[in-house]
Amino acid sequence: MKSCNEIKELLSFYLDNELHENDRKQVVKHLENCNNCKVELERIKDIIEALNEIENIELPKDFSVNLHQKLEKEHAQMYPRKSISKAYVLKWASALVAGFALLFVGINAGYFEQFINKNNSEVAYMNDVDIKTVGKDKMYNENKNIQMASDIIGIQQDAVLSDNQVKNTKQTGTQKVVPKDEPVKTRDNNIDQSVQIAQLPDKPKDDVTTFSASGFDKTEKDLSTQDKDLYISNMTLLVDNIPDSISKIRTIVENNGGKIEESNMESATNQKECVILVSKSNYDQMVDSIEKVGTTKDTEYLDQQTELRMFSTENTENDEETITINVKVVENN
Amino acid sequence: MNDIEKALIEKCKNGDLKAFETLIESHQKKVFNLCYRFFPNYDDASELAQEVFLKVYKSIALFKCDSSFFTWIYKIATTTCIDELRKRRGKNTVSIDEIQDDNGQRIEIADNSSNPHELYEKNQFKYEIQNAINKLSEEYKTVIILRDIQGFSYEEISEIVGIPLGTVKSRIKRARDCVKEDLLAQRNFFKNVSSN
Repeated sequence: MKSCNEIKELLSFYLDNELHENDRKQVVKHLENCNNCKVELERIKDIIEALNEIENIELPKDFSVNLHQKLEKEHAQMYPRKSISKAYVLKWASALVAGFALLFVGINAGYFEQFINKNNSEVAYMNDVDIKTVGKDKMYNENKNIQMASDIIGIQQDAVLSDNQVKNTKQTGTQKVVPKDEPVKTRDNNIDQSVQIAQLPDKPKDDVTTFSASGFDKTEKDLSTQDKDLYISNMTLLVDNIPDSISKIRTIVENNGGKIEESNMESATNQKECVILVSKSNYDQMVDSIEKVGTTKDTEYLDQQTELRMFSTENTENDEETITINVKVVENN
Repeated sequence: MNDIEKALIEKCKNGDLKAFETLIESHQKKVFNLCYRFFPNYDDASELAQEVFLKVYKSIALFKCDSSFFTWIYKIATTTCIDELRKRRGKNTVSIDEIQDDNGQRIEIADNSSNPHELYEKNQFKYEIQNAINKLSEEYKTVIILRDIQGFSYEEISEIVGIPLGTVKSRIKRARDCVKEDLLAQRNFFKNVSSN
């Protein structure tokens, strides 16, 4: 049989239903016969009820706004945007300037007339593609599925370069053209007799050449031996899981002998960007693999206007031409 | 923890601020009220509650989804309040405030009773209760706020405060005894109960 003092020690737990069954029964029985303990019980009960009745007060009106501002500030400190290095900016700026300079010279020398003058019998060619022209029908790059309208560049049927023009022509990059005497096949592999295309000489290994269809002749002295054509691509990938996707991209780049030149892959942001450098020979394979990592969006491949840009770039170890791809990885919401 | 909460937490770990604000939206009022019970002043409670959420944001990367996010937030909130109590100890800065609105005006508690005397009594005893809690030590104040005002279970309090269950029980009992003794000194508090 418990004393009043022992029972009073248990009253708080009794009210909270925290007593073992045995103790609970003893308390109940004691309370039936002890008024003092009953009064004590009621006092504790009043306190608990009074505290329970304290209502929650409303948030201050500006609480959420103030909190949001503080969180944004904290977020900016925790996830700063990676600043682009000066060297990187200078490199691309000088490449852009060189490109525009060449464009300017080319325009002045009338180089582009062959592309826009429809009465001109000269023909323009794309880098490293097998161009099949069928009058003004659209052309397809089988490697990259680039669709271009032939009338944009004024390609005519039966357009050829004269022998003189071929001699004087210097080629930029690795431009390759279907031989003059080789029958041209249409896209469905039917032979099209209506087109004849001149062959340009193979590009000498150490020589940098440009087109010279109408007198424009840029010697190798005017261009840095480091300048090479680049396939500049921009790709945005929508993915479900950023860390997994980044890991896959790294593996793909490694497997294709490429390297990630600049990136914010390590920072804890929800959007990653990187600049990948890869040899031209591995470009297609690597791009195909990267595209499978997510869903591509806003992809910009090399087009007519960009093919003639010249940028300075680092050589790969084997002195191959390199291609730069800007890849943005965004989480799919 | 439900799947939505888990997904939001994962996004927060990747630095998604919007996901974090969605996650904490339902906890803001309760955390603010917890802080208010420790420091019954609108500005102090607001400042402290925002500090709590900043701490939660900074450390969410460390949160393991095998425990309750709800309890984890209140652990941070309670620790923050106790730390602030210790900072202010001896500085007599804890004020006994009436329930105030943003302009510092006393808010009358809405009541269906048309009896002004009853309304006054109600406001008065809430003031006295808060006064009694303010006088408690930080250990007793913490457990009585969490248990009798915020409504946490003994087990949750054990996890939030980081003390054994037995210690939680004994502290709650002693905290209530302290409040009772303080209120007994105000003879009219206990209604219809004659003192011994």
